[in-house]
Amino acid sequence: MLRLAVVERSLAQSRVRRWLRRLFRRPDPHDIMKIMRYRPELYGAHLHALKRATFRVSSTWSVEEEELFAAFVARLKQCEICIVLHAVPASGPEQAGRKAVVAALADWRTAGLRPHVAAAFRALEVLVQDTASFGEADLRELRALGVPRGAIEDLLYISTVMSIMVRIGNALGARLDSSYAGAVRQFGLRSSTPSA
Amino acid sequence: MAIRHQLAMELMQAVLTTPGATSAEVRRAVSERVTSRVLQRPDAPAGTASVPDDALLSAEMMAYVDSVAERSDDVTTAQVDALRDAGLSEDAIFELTVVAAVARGTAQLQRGIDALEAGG
Repeated sequence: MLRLAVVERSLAQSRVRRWLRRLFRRPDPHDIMKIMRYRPELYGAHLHALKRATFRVSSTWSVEEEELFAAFVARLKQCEICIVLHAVPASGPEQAGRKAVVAALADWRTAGLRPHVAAAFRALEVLVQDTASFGEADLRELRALGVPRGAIEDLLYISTVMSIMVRIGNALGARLDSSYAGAVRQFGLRSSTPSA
Repeated sequence: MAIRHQLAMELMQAVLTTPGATSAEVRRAVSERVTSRVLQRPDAPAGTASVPDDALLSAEMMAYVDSVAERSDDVTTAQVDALRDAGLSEDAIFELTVVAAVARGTAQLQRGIDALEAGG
């Protein structure tokens, strides 16, 4: 239950729609979706447009890497729902992919990431956690590895979209319902309730 | 980058100016407060940081938007209730939340773009 009732009710469904969802085994809308759909002219529609222009457009980073960066930003800000929503696509279909994502989110320095991805994690960590001190030096490793300017811009926009979503999700008490319990366990997270 | 930059600016503009329960002045004050605090280096000499006009913001509002921008995982239900008790509607609280988060994200983006430009 989100902390604001008006947002919680943003995707309220009729009994028939709820019944149809269950019949076709469609999951209920999650909390981030409810936030995005509440007064979309103020926030959700614009963030959605920015997200669409940011993800799945890179010619350098794979889809899994983009999602891994997104999950990492969510991990830095302790937003469980955002971690899971991005860690699942970051993993791909293979068990090995899930293990690699779990390792990267637990401690990226020892996870055996390819150098470009590790350098991206290093830059993202400073940018998100210590924005005021972030500077040109924090991008040198990426440049030295030959990461194109456009790919660094991709990282900056991924971190921006996620920083916004994660903060709003955290503040409004967004969390996963029980249908995500398996995913929560897979990624070594605890199923939490918002702070009282 | 031009399209994304344009979309980021449109997002900022929407959260600041879309009619709602809080005035554009209050939202701008929140945005300026968040931005100045995010970009203020701990080692900056005293008096060099810009000081936003916080007169439009109550103590509860400042505490809340600071938490959203700086420690969102520590925001509590009690903080949200304090805003309600101070007379803010749920729509007003939602607006404060998105303005603080978008201002924080936009300041972070600007810092990143500046670093990229500095590297040539």
